[in-house]
Amino acid sequence: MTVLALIQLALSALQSVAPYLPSGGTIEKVVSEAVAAIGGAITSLQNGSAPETLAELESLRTTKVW
Amino acid sequence: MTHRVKLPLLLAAVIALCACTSFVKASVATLAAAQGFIAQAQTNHKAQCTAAPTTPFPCVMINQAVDAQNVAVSALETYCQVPVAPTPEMLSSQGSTACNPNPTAKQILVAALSNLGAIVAQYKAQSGGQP
Repeated sequence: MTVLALIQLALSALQSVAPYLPSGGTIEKVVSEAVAAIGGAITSLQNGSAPETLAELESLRTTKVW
Repeated sequence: MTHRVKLPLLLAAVIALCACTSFVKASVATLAAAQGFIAQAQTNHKAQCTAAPTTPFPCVMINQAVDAQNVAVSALETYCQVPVAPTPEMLSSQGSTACNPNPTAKQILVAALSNLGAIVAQYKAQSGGQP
């Protein structure tokens, strides 16, 4: 499972409990802010933040010249 | 488990996942910057160091930076749970394997990056900041 899939799962879980929280309470406010923040993180991940690959990591090696 | 217990756990998991992702990106950025600095230093001092490679500064120190860089790349690959220092054949077949951070390997990576940073800082101190 990818990081994005796990974050989406967490977002779904938060969204599923949100309707059962007391209206106007601190917890509801925290959850709604968390849902917004996680939504932003998902958008960021979907907009080109592809996970690093083995090829990319290997390209960071250097060699001795002398 | 009650909602009161579940919520903090979920939030902690999300924060940890986001932190892992940004830590990998920060590590890659650090290594890319060091790679560029080392390459420029090799270019700048190639003639001098090919003639006298045992000169402590800059020749030996540049090679120490190369070793530290490669150790840090291996530590990042370990952290990412991808093959470490793969053969060309393995890289060809598994090059698209994505990083899957393992938080238990973070300390070794931090130490490797710290060592690389110390060598580059020492080099810059002696060169006046120039590669």
